[in-house]
Amino acid sequence: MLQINDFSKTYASGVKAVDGLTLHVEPGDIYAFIGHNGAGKTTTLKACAGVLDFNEGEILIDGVSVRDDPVACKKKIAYIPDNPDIYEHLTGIQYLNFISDIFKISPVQRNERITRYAELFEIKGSLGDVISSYSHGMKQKLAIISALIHDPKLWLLDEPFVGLDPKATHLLKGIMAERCAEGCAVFFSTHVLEVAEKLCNKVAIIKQGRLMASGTMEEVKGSASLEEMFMEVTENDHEA
Amino acid sequence: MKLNEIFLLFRVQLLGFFGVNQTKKAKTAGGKRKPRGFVYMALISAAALLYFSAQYSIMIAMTVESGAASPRTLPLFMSFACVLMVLLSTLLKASPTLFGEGDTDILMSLPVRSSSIIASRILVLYAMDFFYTAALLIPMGVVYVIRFHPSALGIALFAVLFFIIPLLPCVLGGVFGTIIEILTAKFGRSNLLRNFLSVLFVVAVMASSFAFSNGNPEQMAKTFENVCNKAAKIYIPLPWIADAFCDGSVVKFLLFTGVSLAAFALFCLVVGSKFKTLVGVVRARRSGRSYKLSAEKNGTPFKALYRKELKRFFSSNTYFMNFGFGMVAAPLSTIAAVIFRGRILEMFSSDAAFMRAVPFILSFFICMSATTACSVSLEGRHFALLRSLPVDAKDLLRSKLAVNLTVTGPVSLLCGAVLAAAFGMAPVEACAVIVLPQLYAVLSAVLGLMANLRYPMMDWKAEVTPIKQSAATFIAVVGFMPLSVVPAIIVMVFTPFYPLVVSALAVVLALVGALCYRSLMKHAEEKIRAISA
Repeated sequence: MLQINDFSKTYASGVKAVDGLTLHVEPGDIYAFIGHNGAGKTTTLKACAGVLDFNEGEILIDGVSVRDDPVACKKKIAYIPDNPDIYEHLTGIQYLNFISDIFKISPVQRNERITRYAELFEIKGSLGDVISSYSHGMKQKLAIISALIHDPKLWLLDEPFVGLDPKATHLLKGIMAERCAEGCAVFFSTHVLEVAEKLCNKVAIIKQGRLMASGTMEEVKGSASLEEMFMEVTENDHEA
Repeated sequence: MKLNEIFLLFRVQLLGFFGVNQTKKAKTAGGKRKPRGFVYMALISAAALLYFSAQYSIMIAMTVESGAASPRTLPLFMSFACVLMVLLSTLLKASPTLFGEGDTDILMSLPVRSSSIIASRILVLYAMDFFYTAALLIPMGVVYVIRFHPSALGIALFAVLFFIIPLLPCVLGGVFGTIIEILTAKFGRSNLLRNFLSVLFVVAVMASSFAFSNGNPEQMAKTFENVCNKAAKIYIPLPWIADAFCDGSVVKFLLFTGVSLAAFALFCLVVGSKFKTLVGVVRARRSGRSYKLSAEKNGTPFKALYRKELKRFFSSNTYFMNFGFGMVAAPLSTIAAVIFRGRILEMFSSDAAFMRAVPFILSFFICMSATTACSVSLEGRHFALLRSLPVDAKDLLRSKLAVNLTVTGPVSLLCGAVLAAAFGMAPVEACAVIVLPQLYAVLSAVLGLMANLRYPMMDWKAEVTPIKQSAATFIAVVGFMPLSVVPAIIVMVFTPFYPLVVSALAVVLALVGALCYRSLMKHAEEKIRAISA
């Protein structure tokens, strides 16, 4: 579903954010991407989403290169940034309609999906309000609904649980599992290691732009907890 | 690049203009009432602007007629003025609008072409300038039709051209803005450089406009014609506008339209193909400088707020040029007036008329410089953080007023003193040229802040939105102009009672300023609390 091969990104300032990263996300995977602040998680996710240009390597989504055919790739994915910068002057429903128009979702489908997910996340009554009046959690819920509207094959989520209430967190985890059972995949960054440990079948640990460990949850953490493993990997200097 | 994509992206941006969508969706009666006031204000301001523009067009038409110049000079000159205005305006906001918008990440993750994103943003720039271009071109068109009777075909072609004329300068502004952004990206003080380039541009425009300061109609008509001829050599499509409008030339109309649309499409495709790289360049900041912590200076909360506010003003080229323009133009005009004293005095009916007009000309520049009009809006999302600090709301507002006065006060004082000395003004006139601009500086700063507190815009994505597209700045830029123009007319009408009228005006300005300031301070806490950020 997602193939990152020898990906490197150096910013114009000279900072090398990611260095030779290789990892593969298969259909059905819920793949956690963990690392300290500034480790390169957001850079990697942005490059996968076609938001960021990169210097070296190759990123393929469903076999198509993000660099060669970005529009085709973007049709298959949904990306939610860590701080969803949604048009605050629009109402919730105007934003969802905007995204639906971009993805050319039929009125019947968009109605059905918006109703379903808005009810599920309990923001249906607020869809007529301008987004600037929403709380951070409500904006995050709206971003999640907008990311579900076109039924993407791959979800790229940057810190998706930040700002969500416990019920919404539970719902999101359920939707992630449900979608992966249907053959889709989720690749997300998180700092909540307990969630990653319970929810994901695969995990990758990144430190200062270099992949330190990756594989199935069992392979990476062994008999220790993910937190213990993370601390060990990030404190010591061994690579995957 | 797909039309439906461009339309979708543009529509979303358009809904944010002047807070239109928020207003439509406002649930409270107060929220709905507020914009009504803005609409009335906008209509009055638009009428005033159209009136002044029409007067200017009539003046050119009369000069052209009496000086036996070609009638084409009128559309050529006004279209060139429109081109220059759009070019300057676009140049200043091209980079933040094209590459710095907060929705860039979300849009780039959607299946839309980068060229469509660029096209929608160029259209945003176009829409932002449309008000001003309409104010220049509509009166010109009407005056030309009434005085020079072009053919029905010519009128029809101009009606379409009116929408196309601003497109090419918008694209050119985008090109130059992009080049400046690339050149300055690695330069630590890129904002300073941009401010400097903008000032240089203003100097060039003012220096060339000084060519029209000759009082002889025949010579002025020749000057207008010469400028148009030179402009046509620099901006090749310019004569095509006149050919279409004056002579009804369909070929030139098609040529102009074709060139404008082709330039637009080419820019979108070229910049679109490098969009990601350019966004990376714009966002990249110099790093690696090893900061050394030294003994930090301490100060009062007011000083801290003042320093922050002052830095904000000079670090944003859009903010600086939108509200600092008047204070760049004032000293330049003063220097020009001193150097070309004789020619300047020739333009007025008498020396006394000039002396009496000077305080209002200076005040006009001051009224264009109400930095306070978007100072609250520019806090944006950080406003909540600011409110959480143990800072008196009055100090917060005072710091914004102080920055405005720092920008306008010393410059106008210096200009006034220089003009008074250079022209050997009598005591009453010298007092007027020094005191009146200071009173205007206070009044416009206070009124600007009041306008911003009444129409705050906190939920913006790019700073160009509160600076250029908010109701408060619209009021400050367009609505404050009559503040100096109307009293100037009154003073000119009651010339025999000049000392009395000007003293009365000073008292009125001081009183209104003091009352507004008192009201502002009295309700400071309440006004700040009412802002939802």
